[in-house]
Amino acid sequence: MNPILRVNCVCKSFQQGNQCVEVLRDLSIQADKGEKIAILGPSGCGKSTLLSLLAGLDNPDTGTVEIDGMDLAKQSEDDRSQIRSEKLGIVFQQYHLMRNLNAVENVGLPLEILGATDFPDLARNALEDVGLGHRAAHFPSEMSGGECQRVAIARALINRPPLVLADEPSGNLDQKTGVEVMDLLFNLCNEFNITLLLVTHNRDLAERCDRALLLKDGALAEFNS
Amino acid sequence: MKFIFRQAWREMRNSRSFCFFYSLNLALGLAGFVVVDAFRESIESKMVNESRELLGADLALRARRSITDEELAKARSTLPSGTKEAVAVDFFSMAAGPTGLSRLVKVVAFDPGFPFHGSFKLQNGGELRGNEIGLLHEQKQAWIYPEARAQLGIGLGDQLQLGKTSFQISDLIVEETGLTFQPTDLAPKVFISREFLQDTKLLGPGSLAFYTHLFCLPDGADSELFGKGLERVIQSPEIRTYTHRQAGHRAGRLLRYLSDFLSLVSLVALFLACLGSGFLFHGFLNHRLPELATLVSLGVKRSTALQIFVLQIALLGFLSALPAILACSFFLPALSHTISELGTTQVEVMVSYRSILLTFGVAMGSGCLLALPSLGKVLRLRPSELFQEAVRPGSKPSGMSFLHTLPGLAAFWVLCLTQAHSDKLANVFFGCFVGSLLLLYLLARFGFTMGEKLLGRSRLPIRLAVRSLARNRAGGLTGFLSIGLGTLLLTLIPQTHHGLGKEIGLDNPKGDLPSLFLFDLQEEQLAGMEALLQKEGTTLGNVTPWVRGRIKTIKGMPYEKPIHRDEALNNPDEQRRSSFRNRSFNLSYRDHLLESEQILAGRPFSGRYDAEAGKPAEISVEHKYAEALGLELGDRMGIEVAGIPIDTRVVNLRRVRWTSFQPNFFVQMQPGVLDQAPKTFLGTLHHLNQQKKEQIQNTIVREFPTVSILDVERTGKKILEVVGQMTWALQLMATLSVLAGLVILFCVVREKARSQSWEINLQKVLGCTSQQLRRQVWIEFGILGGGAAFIGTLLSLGCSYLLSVVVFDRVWSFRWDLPLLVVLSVIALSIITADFAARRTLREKPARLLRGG
Repeated sequence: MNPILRVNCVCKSFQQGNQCVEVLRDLSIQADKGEKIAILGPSGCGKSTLLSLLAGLDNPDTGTVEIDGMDLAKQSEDDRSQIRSEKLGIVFQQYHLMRNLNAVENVGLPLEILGATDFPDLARNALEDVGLGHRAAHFPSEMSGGECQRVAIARALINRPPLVLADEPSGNLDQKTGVEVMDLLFNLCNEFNITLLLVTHNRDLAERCDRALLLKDGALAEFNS
Repeated sequence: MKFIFRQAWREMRNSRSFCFFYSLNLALGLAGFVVVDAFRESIESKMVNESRELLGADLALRARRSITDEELAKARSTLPSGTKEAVAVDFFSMAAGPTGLSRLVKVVAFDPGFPFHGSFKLQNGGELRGNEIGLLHEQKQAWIYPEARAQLGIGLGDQLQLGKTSFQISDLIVEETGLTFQPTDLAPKVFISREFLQDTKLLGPGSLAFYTHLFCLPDGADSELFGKGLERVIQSPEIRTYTHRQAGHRAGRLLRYLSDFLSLVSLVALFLACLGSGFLFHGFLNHRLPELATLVSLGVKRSTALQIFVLQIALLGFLSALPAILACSFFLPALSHTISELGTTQVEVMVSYRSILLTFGVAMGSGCLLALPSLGKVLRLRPSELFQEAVRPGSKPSGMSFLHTLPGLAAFWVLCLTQAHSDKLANVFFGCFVGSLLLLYLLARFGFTMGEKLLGRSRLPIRLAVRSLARNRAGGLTGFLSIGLGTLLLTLIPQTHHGLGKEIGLDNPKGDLPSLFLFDLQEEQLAGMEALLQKEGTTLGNVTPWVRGRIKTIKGMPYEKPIHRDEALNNPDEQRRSSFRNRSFNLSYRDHLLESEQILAGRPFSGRYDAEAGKPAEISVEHKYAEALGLELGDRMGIEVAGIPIDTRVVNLRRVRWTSFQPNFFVQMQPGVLDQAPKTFLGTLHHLNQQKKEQIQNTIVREFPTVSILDVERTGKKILEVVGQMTWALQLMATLSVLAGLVILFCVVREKARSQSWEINLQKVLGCTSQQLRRQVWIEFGILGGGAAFIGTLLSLGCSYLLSVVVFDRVWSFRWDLPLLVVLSVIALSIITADFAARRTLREKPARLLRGG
């Protein structure tokens, strides 16, 4: 079986003033279909950079990032957009919902981008799945943080992508709500056999994954609690 | 595509206040633009479609002397058989009513058949075409304008004295056609038949009158083609040939100048509106950039994201154009009224499809151009910043945005060129505009920085206000530029008008402006006139001979009549040059300068002309006339006076203050050359009160009916009335600019308050009261409005001085009350606007703001 995500010897550095800061160094990782992987690491270790590379929002200096067998660096900008719309779901720590769209419109957005016409019904169903059927017409400003994150999860999963990247999904939530949201995310990923790559500080969450990796000094290592 | 439309619509639906203010701003600027464009279109269409009626014929020959039989024979030889002819003579003269009350009128004496096209509309006689006019040519009757009726205290059936005979007033004119060469007349017209002109004995040798031969071509004849033929055979520079199209253009000059200036002023309003809308769009886009980054992270292509914004701009442009076009129904009647007051030509102003389409085009195009600096951000957006907690996507500044404003400025320059028919005017205007903009920008930046340094230790609200201005520059600069430019325009126009009014000097009883200006005085009448005036207790001043001359050679080369070029019709610079070059001219002689004259280059006359010395006669030439003829100091000019050639040399170039109403001439010759030439005289009477003026005028008309008298005060008032009407129209457009400036200020404050709501909230949490914060807003925007208004006013004074030097030959006078009033009003309006705009944010509870932030 081909891995859904394959990262091979990726390096990434940034220029900060006169200094060149190497953020990722020969980083490699592979994720199979349905696998749940947690990535832990201290602040500033390069987690955001890694997520940007995996989402095709940035290019590595060297090395390759393949999603479903496609090398992102070899794709055009438009093709990378196409890959994101079909193969990727992203859950941000700060939700990043469209303020001017209500819940159902936010959830249906990925389908709209793909040109689907039945997106309102599917979006409504997805909202039901995350327990927010009654909030369909509400705007992000009218919902709590937990509810916003549920909408973000529904949006990330609505087109059943093979891979979901989640950046501290519970980082902005209180403990109880955070647990509820993470339960939801794990359950849905299990239900639809979606690969989950979860960036988190939370060791408990890491333990719920199939494996946990520690990002330190620009490289990944197995994390043993 | 559906996604783009849906997304654009959703964002607009949910950003209603942005859409409202963006559209309001742009609509304000577009309103002026579409009104002026409709005005211009209506004038053009009137002048093109009704040019035959304006001339009253298809072709015409016009000169300040009677056209000779030989010249007429040449002209007739080029015209097709079946061409009808009529002659009309027009000149200024005094007319007196039965009570002895007299006034200057314009006499039009015409042949049967005139006008060939169009008609007279009379109060009692109804509408009469040229071939239907009977009695006027059979009996000594006259038609007058109601204005003359009021001035002369005359009624229907009364006798009107014209020169040595009198005419019975048989009807009043409601509307007339034909002989419309001038955009406006300084005296009301009186129409008589040419049959009886001789009886008036008004036209003696040297009298100033225009003789017009009008031709009506047979049906189907090409008037342009025959017009060219006429021009080819009529070589004399004294005779102008007109096709009806050229006459139409000439008649529409004043209105076209007005529309050119109005266009330029309306462009400032449009620019300011674009500036405001650009600022709003910038804020809107900045606000949306994180969401845009989210969209890209969800798989939307950047080009798609860009298309969403372009579509929104186009839609908003479309929406802005609608109220602007509707606003025309309010503004156009006002402009129509102005036009009717301005001149003889009645123009019905309507919005054409072309104007509507152009407005939509400008609305959508300008929207895209003004969005360019902001749209660059979409392309540079880094969605990967979504993963970074402390970074907001699109918040990093870029140094390239200035380059993105260049296409907008270039488009503005092109609009200036197309809206003003003179490249020179358009370029001067654009240069002044960009210069003012740059100066305002630099002064604002400098002022904000210095303000922070100088007032950094003052009281807290002042300290916070200047700090806010210095550190949130984008909004502050936009507001400063818009208010500064609006104020500049608002004060520039009345300042220039004031200068002109002051120069004409109607409000200065002790000024040197003459009370009455006498012309057409024959040499043999001089002694009698002086005796009469002495009896009346006054003296004839500035007695000046008036000689008609013809240019024969310039710099030794024969002076040829220039051929009319079509492109010159629309270019005011060309028109002025052409009218100078075509004229045979008036000249005089004297050995000294009047106080209204100043030598710019060269030397005074060497004294009386010495015929024995064999040198050319010395002449002094008005500098603009010299420029039009291509004459420089030392150049030779061959002049013919009464058939005698005179070789002359330019010894000096003069500036003349024409508004002094003193007897001034384009060319002055040294004494001793023209003393024996046929001439009439001009003279002035000074320091007469209204009653004395009336009395002397009536006496002169009674004793010397062929002498014409110009009431300077009345003429000055008429000129100021015309200028006043034009100023009013320009002010209307300038007010639009200020209104646009205030809307921009409102948007700036609102946007600032919104973007700084977190800071405002923090200040509240730290103990600032709402009143303190409100005062801070007052101070901040009072300083901004006051500073911008002050600098704008200073710039307007500079510009009005520059205008007075370049256009009006140094007619400049400072009016202190207007700038003061404008600065104080702008400060008050800025504070009120800012208070209104920030009120909502200031009233919000800090806890709510914290949640939102």
